Amino acid sequence: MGKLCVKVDLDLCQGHGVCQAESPALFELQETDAPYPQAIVLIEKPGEDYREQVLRAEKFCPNSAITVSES
Amino acid sequence: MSTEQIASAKPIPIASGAAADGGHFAEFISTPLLFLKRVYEECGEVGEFDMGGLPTVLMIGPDAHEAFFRAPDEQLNAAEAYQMMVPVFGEGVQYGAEPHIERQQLKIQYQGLKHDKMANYAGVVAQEVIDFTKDWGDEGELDFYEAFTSLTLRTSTHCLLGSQFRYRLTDEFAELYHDLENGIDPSALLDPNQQKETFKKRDLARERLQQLITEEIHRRRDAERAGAAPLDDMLNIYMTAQYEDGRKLSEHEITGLVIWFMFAGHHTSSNTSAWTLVEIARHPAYRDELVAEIDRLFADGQALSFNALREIPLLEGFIREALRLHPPLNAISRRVLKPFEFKSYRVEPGKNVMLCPWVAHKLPEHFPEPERFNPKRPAPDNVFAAIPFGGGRRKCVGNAFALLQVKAIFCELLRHFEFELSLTPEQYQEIMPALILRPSDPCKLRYKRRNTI
Repeated sequence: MGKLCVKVDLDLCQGHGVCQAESPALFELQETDAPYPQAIVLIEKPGEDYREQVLRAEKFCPNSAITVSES
Repeated sequence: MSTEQIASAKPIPIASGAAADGGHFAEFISTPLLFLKRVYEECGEVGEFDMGGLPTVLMIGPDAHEAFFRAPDEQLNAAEAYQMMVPVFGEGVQYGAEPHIERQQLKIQYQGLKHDKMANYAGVVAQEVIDFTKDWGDEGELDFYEAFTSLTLRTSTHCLLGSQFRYRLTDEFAELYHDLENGIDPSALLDPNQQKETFKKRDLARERLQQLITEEIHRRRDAERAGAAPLDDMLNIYMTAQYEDGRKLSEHEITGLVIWFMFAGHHTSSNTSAWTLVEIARHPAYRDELVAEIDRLFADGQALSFNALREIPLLEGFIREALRLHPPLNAISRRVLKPFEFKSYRVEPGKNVMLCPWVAHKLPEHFPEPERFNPKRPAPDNVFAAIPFGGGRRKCVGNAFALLQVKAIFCELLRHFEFELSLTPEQYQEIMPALILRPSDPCKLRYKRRNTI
């Protein structure tokens, strides 16, 4: 298993907040110029402990805005 | 993009068959989906047609969708393309408002769709289904297009506008709403203010709705003055919201926001529910597996929860396939305000660009055996391949609510009932009378209470 890398595509994120609910340590909704808040990644390369929650955030994001890759 | 590249732009293929008077408008109006399919088959990924004097460029496929959705509003503009909605929502509301006002209104709408609100909605929907089906008896037959229209009006209103608003829902409200819906007639694409009976009714309906909503606002303000606590619903959010400059929403604007919210969430969900049910009944081979999946949800005796609804893959597969094959909205449009380049094409300002999910969802390279309904179809690799809710910054912000609502409806229905087609499978046709794809009339199915089988 490689190192996890988390990204949010801000053209797609509409601030549903599922990621923040799954993993408040990794995601935070912040006010932006968009009409809704958007998710900011707090730790782009989280440790293994976060694997399960970050994959849940990716899976359940209603806008498929989160990509988790492994390097 | 350099000037050399712009100069070498490939000409956009043009669809055949334009009439001297009105171009392709008549064909678009009479068979919109078949027409757009023809444009795609003739022209490919990018093709132009004449929408009654408005050159319109159809773009099909994930790359084209992505370019469309990532373009900023100053380049591809939604408001200019959807002026037909202005008389429905009202001047000064959504596409009838300045962009900075629309943005603030959207921010207000968003309050009802926050993740923390969603958790309560599953239970509300379940209760509405129980109430709705309590007089069904052990078996019977219903027109489920009509049934879902009525049920989702209740569920959407209840979740989004609160129980007090919901229980004041009268037949008059439903009729007014219907008149507004009929005002989204294809001819509104050309001129939403022309003299026409349906548009006159649309405007009268909006006036009367404003009267009803204003009365409700006054009732609430009186109650609050008398010491009652404010209600925790969208109407209260609208009543207390302020623009950035401190101005409160007028009654005209509140009415517009209510109609906007209802429109976005209602007919799309009701059509998706109707198609999902038709497809469930058309595919009895999955019946046992689907029922087992639903029964597992209720096995612990607990009420339907938000988290449980996230893990029902087969039902979700049915809903996603219904949305793939029968997407409700099929002319996602923008007005080009600044030159828009895609691959080696260039679309000039003044034209419209359009996406059509119904055509794009049948591309075999992204959806093998595209005509086959397959609830176990894996999600496409490209996030821009399936676009039933649009995409990008203007994607339907209620998409998560819509899926939750339809799932909750079906969990409750399939827990208690089995369904069978009343007609032959082929008799359930796609029709598109008011720019929204729906099942043909009648959409009858038989139901039987499960515990009596």
